[in-house]
Amino acid sequence: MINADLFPASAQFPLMPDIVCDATADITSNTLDMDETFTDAYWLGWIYYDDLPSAYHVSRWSVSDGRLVLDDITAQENVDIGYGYCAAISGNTYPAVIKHNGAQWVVWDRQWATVETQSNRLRLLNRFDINQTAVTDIICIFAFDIKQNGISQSYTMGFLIVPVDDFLSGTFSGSCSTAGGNLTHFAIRSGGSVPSAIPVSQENITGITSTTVDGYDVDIICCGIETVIAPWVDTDGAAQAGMIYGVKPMVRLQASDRDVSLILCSYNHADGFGYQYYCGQGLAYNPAAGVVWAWEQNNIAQPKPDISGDNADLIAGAFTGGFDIDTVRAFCSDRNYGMYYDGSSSFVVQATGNSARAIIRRIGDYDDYRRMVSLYPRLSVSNTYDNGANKYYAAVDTATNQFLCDVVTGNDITRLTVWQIIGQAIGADTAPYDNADKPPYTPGGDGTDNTNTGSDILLPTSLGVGGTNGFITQYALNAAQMQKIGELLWLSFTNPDYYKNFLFTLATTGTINLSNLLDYFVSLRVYPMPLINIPSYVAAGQDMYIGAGIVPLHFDSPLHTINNYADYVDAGSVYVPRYYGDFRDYDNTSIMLFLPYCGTVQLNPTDVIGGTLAARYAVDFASGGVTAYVTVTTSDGRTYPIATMAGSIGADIPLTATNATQIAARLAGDALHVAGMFGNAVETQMQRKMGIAVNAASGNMAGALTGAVDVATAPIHTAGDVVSNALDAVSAPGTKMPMLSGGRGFGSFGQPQTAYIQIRRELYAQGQAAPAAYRHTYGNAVSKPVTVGSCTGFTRFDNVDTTGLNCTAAERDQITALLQSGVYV
Amino acid sequence: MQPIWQKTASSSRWVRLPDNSMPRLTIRRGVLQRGDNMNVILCTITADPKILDKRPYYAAANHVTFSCHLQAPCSMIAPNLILSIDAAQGYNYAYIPRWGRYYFLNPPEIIDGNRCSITGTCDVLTSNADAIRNLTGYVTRSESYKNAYLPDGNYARQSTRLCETLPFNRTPFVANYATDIVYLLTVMGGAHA
Repeated sequence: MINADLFPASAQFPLMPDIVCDATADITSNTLDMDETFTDAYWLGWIYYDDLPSAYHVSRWSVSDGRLVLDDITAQENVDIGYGYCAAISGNTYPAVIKHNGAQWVVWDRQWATVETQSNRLRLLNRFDINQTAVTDIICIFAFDIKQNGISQSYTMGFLIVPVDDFLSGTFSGSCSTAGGNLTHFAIRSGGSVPSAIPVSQENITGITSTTVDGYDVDIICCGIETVIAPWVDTDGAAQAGMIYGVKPMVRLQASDRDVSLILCSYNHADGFGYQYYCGQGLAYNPAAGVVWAWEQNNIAQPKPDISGDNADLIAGAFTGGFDIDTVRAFCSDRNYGMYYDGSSSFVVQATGNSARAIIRRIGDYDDYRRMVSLYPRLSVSNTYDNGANKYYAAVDTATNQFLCDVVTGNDITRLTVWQIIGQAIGADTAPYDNADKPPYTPGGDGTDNTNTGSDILLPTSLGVGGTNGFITQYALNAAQMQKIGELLWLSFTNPDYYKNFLFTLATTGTINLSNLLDYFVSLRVYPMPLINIPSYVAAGQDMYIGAGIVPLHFDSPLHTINNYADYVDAGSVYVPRYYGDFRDYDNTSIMLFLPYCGTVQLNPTDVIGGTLAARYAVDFASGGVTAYVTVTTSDGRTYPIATMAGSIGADIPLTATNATQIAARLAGDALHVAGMFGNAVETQMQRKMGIAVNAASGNMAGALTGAVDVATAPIHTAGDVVSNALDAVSAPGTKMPMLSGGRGFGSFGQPQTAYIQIRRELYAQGQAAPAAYRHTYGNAVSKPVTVGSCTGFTRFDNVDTTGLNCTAAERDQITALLQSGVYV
Repeated sequence: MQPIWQKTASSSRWVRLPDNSMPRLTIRRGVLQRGDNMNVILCTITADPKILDKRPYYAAANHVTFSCHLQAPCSMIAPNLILSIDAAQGYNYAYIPRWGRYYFLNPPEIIDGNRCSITGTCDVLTSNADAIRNLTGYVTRSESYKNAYLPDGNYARQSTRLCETLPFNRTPFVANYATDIVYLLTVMGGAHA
């Protein structure tokens, strides 16, 4: 619980276990091999500047086959690498830390205790919990603090998610670049683009993007900090560069089972030119709905902005999505103002120079949240603050990174580290919401719950089908790029000269036959997902190549291609809770699974109760079809596929009139097919195939073809047909007949975009647990050989061996009958 | 010798039997003997008949010991006790020390102005409680044991349902159709190294 006594003097945050590393390792090259220093792995990122404050350079790091590569470290002048912190952590692995001392990478320390003391700008809580029973992926978190002359200037951080095996072998790869490529990281750094999922309005704040770990609920909470350098225009209209906006702590909270995330940023800046500005920003983010609440105030000159009104709904937890807010942290730099929550009704901007607060408050029920990982990068402060009512542990010794005193009482608080306090605030990982059964779930007595033995049956880790092979190329376009393609096809030029030249070049070079230009366009489909969710997309410059690939069609903005014909797309997971804790969870309970674009399917409760369902879509970009694979990770840690569902996700946009007719006919056929499915919920695959045959026999060849290629479109050209027919999801082994269709075409975009399960349980007069009166009069169901004397209370036997009774035969019969009808022992 | 009265089978009237029509039996060392008496301890208990061992209830009750005759035909399992009317009122349980058995008592039936007849039914559970505790059997319902995963048909199901809808923790699909969709244009060839 988080309350006013949050930080008792005796509070101690549990230290992390030691890591095993080679403290004598000496790394002098800019290529860091994991085996040089640690028995565990580590990752790094870095930022350098060449001439503060004119330019900072974003970290240029990458991990290739487990080797961290730093770009051009020696090529930059005036590079003053400060301290680099690297941490690797997961629910059951050790953190690792190294640093760069300006000349070489050395082991920082093996223990978090030392790290706490020396790295007040970076802390890492071991609150991160991947599924402890079946960890297959490791979260590696790193952060950087760049210093100049011992003063922190810039920070960056990010993480990678890598499979355990790769983690151990050091054969993983990743990059912090957001310019396409690997997305299994986030980074807070300057100069990057803002992911659309978290549209942080400040251009220079690269957003935080979490990614998924297949089959697990991975919740990332972090707060980062950076110094932003941005151009600005001064009062004389002169362009200025290098304005320091200050620091921006960010906190993200996520309750995975509720799909609620909260990002709050509060920051301030000083321009250094005599003006005072106050800024704040908050975001509430839902993975399904995007940003559901945003608040921002920028460049508010004095008097201080009253933000209480803006935050009223925040305080009340009254977001439009009905989300709760748990923790708010506000930061105030050593020069400016910060805001804090006063614990009662509002957020307050506090203008006490040279003060800072780590404000941790609670709104809502913290116990609903389970996993938290936090980086608390910076507290720099010299004064304390006491408003007479609230406690703010503001005073931090920047040399030791320890809070000095209770600002209310002034009492020494035994120099709790920032980390200790945050640890106390977050509390123990108890009463997990997202992996909990509903009370009063109790174990099953002499009975056993589901047990699963044997081996896991895992899906392939990726679908690297296709690649760049010269047959076809899949371009991922935005709306503006789409328009340009349309202009080319229909000669509706907005820039006639460009297209004329382009077409002329095509014709004269023999690249393609202009009379059959459309033949080069196989299909055009819309996929209802952000590009970043497609694993194999890569940056492809600004030129599109068609046919022989000699003459490019140039675009004004970067293009992307999708390299694979099919990709796995993670659709998340959900825990299937028990409710009664007995047979009723399995008997007379129905569980319906809905997967967007695939429909619904009934699951056997025995297969999934107490387990975690995870869904992955194998998206066939060549056909627009999709096959969803649903796996279950049982309570005893076994993982195996449990359902496969087929659907269609890519909605066709006609390229020609003929194509439009084909698409319309197919969609009409789908509609009839869907109607049939409603009319016959138990339709089997065989029946469906028979239906196809009937269509053909009755001369309805169009309908027959439609059914035969159930998930695919009718691609325009042969290349598409081949791939489409290869994925006939109707005949896919293990396909479960959906009760409801996932829909087709653009109409399907209107369905819920998040998978869900619906558990329907019987209600019993006995309530959740059998009451004592029930047990006393009916007894619990049991089947067990026992002696009568070992029982107490109501007892009924199926059969009893009466050997040993010294009585008449009639008495013996009576005793047997009585024991079989029930006695009180 | 007192006259013996008995209800007739054809009517509910009491009739007096001839003096020699019913032999007087007593039990001596387990053998029925004519004209003998034995002690019976009467009491009133509140225990459920299905309770295996009612001796704690018996011990806690007020006991009265009477001398009685047995009326034949009867047995140790279902004795017919002849008691004075004054002694036989208000008891529902008995213990016969000579037989070492406990009995449920039926309401007394008047024999004449001084006597009544009480039939007893042996409480086989309590009479053999210690031995029964050592028996082994397959318990199917128990207040002390349970297997929560065995279907229990005694639970009373309602017609109503408890419906719980749980979304997955994330989705790869759109949050905003204006910005989050992908147009995928597939072209022939186009590969460009």
